[in-house]
Amino acid sequence: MPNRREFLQTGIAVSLLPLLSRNGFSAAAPRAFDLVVVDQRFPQARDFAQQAREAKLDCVAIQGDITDFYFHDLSLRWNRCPTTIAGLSTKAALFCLEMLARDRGMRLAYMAEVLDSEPVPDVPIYVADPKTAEMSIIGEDREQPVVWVIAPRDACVREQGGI
Amino acid sequence: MPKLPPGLSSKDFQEAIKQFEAAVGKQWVFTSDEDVALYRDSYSVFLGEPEEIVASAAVAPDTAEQVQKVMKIANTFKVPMFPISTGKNLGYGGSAPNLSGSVVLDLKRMNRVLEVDDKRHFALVEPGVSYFDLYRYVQERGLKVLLDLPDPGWGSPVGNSLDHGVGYSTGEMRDHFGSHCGMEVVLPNGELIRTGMGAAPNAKTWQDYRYGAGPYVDGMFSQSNFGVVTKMGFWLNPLPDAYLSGTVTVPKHQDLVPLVDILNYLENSGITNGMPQLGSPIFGGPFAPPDPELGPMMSKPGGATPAELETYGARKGRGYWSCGLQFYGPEKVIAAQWEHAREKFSSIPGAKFQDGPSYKFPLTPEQIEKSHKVTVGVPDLSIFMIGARSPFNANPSHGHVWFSPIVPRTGQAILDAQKVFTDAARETGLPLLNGPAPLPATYYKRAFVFIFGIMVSTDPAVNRKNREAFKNVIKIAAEKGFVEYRTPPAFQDEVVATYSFNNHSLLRFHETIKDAIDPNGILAAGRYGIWPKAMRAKRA
Repeated sequence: MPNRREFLQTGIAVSLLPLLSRNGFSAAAPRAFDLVVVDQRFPQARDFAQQAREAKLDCVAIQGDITDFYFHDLSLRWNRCPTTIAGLSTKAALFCLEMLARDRGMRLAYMAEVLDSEPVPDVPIYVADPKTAEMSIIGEDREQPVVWVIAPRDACVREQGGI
Repeated sequence: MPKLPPGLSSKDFQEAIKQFEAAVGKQWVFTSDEDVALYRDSYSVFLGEPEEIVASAAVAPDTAEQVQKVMKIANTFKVPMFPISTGKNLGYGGSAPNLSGSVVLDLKRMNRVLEVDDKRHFALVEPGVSYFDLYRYVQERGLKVLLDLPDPGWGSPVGNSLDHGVGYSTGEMRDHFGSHCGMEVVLPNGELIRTGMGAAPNAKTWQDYRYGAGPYVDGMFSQSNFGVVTKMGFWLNPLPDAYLSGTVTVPKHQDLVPLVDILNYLENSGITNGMPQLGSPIFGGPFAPPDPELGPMMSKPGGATPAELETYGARKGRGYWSCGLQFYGPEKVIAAQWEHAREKFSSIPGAKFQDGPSYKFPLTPEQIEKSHKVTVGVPDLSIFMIGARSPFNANPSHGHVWFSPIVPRTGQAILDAQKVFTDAARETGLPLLNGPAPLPATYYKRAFVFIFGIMVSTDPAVNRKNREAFKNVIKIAAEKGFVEYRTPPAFQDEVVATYSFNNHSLLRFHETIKDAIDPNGILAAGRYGIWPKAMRAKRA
């Protein structure tokens, strides 16, 4: 299967204020995320998952493909209500989740690449304050690990006054 | 600020939006840039260029009655509307319209599975139902049916079939439009119709008998812009007792001809009912490491001759061509069918056979995991994990569009098509990424379809070059009789132009219908080359 293109609404920028100095989640995280998804094939995933658990967050492990996770867990949660989820996965997995999230009133609110040589980027607590609606491609390398947040539309989208 | 629909004043558009909000609820009308941007085609060949086709807004009704209201409002203000089911048709346009400024009529909220009958083997669903939704419905109720699924399985049965999508199980069900039975449609003027037996109020056979009495009109609503389908019935496979697969390989280049003839006999006789798969094992698998012996043979001017490849294959113990067969049914019956298939293929000298997996339904989770899931009725997204950057795939692309011409179901036609497509790729510079001897897909029982993925780039110059090359390949292939069955909006005019019998009389007929049932030209303008009258002259 050839590759796919992914979009990021850079306009759904995030408030980076409530971050801890350590990479991962802040103490406020339990109130911010309903679920954390971790692709356990990546070495960085171990610390990420550990921090999520320390923050008392539900944490789900995947290995690349999201199908089972989506069908047996996430879609059932989404049937109840939109959720805010954070994750560390490949861009390919994020692409699938983002496309599915759109149908349930959620969207990609934050994404940052995870680089081998650097700490995992901090995950923001609040997704708000969109500045612009420019879209950009979030990358062509589907195996690239990224951290991300998918959040309910209402947390991300600024209603506009006129047409 | 959102784009305005063509020809509409800001004031009228605002008023139309206000009325849409009254019809479906304010929260289900999307006008912010952030919301509307989500309807862009993720695989657009125009990404970042002024020509990229983008929507102006989106409206998401919850019922057929709301669709009717929306269409009436659209007619009042002449707002161009573009319906989507789940908009996951990546490679063929996604959720983006044909006409920039259209309002997307997003049917995702209409996601009710209305009925699944496992005694008469049918389903009735709304357009926002995904294959995952339908699978869950079946599993939760323990219904004895096997779904036919596309891969990936996140799309909608309604949307997929209306676009002539295909699946992977039995021959009758793989053709998703061919296996539908009965529709409910909102016409462009807002009127609601039901087709077939659905038009008879007391009939209990809407999903059993397709035709009703009088003209059979369902085809008018596929790959078209004549109505918004709000319900659709589908025939389903009964859950079979067992599944079995096996592969035949043949040693000579010209063996492809009898291989396909025998396959046709077996499939059209109902002896094999699963989706066959043609292969060329001589070149190794799709992710096999490059062979140091084969590489130089293939890269010399003109490539390796069939005789050289036959010698190479004999030395390596590889067949030249292969055909995988799949069977669904009672265990004893499918074992006998495979045995009979082996007898038939044994008429080709040197034919060899290999038994594949065999399972009893329902499969265990381990068996499902080992299978190509969609062939055993389990929707899947893992296809998105294939094709990552690797030593054998150094430059994964940013997306793709499909070039998918229909080819006669003969071995000789495959060989002819391989030459045509290889020459066309060389002539136009279009990278056709399917290896040295591309083989067709066998979704349809009565025709082959070649599926070539054409890379989409972040570089507009590359996309411009590929678009032109794509258009040229459409023409070159059509001149040889290999015409596309499905294409993204960017190429629909060009593909429809190749259906040119009697001075494009088919297109003119479609236009006549369009003008009669959608005089304001508000529904899916331009879909498969059918433009409203007012835009037709300008585009000619």
